[in-house]
Amino acid sequence: MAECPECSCIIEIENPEVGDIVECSECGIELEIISLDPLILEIAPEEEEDWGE
Amino acid sequence: MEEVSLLKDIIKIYSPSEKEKEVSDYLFNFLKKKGFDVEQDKEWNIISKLGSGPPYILLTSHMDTVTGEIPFRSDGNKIYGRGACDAKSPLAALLSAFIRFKNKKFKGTLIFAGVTGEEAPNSRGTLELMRKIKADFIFLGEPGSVDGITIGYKGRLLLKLIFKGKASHSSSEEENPVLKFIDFSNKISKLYKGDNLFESLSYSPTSIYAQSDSNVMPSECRVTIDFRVPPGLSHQEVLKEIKVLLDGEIELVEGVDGVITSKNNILVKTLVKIIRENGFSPKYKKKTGSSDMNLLVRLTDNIVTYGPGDSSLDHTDMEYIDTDEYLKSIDILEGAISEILGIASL
Repeated sequence: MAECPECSCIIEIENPEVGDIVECSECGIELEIISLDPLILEIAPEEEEDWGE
Repeated sequence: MEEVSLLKDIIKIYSPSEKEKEVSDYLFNFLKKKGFDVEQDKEWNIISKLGSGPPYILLTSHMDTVTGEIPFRSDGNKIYGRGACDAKSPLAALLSAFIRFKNKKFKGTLIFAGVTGEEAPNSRGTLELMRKIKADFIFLGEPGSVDGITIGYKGRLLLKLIFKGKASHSSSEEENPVLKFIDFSNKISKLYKGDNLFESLSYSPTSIYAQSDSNVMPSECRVTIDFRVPPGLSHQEVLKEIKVLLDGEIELVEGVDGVITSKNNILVKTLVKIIRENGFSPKYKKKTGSSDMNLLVRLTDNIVTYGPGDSSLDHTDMEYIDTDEYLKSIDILEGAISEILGIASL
């Protein structure tokens, strides 16, 4: 279990792996698993819409 | 520096689709002189391999550009010219990263492929490449900036439609084909709307032709429409819906589905890590256009698009590349490929 850095709710994550992106079940924000022991989450890299090719 | 010279040389060679032979010959001779085994196939694709056996890691980008020559010039760190951004700097970055593995020991096969025909409908170079190679992991080179990881492209449905009427007096009650098109347009523009442009079906008529005297209804209205289809919605499904709404004739010019790679895919996670190690903050990108990623995903789901350059300059007369960004992207690609070779060999 880990705390969402955005809304502070506690999130349960099955089979966590460093670098995985998960979604906060409470506020919906995307979070990145930074470490496993302790389980720490940070806001995931931002996402942009772009055009081209 | 050789990596910058390579980039400059290939930008200097104007190579719009169907006229890639000169740049293809250049890369063939460049790799031969360096002692690589290299193949130039019937579509002028350039293919070179290092190592043997699985995993097969494909590094590919296109050698062709859109038409419209831009005079080559270099100003400090900036290099201007057609294709500087789309996609000769991603192509040269992948090739430079590939060359760095020449004297490294690894388990697997690293494949470099410069392909033709990406800027023309139906990507003849990539389709030929897909017939002859295996790939477990694919890095596709397209501009997205040194810190950008492109994880998705929309699909495309390119159609030519003909709305029929009868040449008759413009005051008559006969059906006007232009109005038929407008009616169709109003219906079709409301289909499949998502939360943003990437998740929505976009609808863009790119040519409309109907002509007659000012007091005569035209007998037909010919329209070309470029639909961009979000991943998850098949272009065939959209086509089916269009056929239901259409009162006219239809010709399918191109149809390809969208593609999206999970943020938890090993290639994406690896690029996030290596971009950070190189001092940048990674960003995911979802593009509303399409690319060869839409086709290459048929070989493997382990696919990502990465490359230096500002894609908002694609197809414009302002294309340029910053050499610092270009060189940094080679380091990032080398790091990511090393990591994948290490992980995949475990």
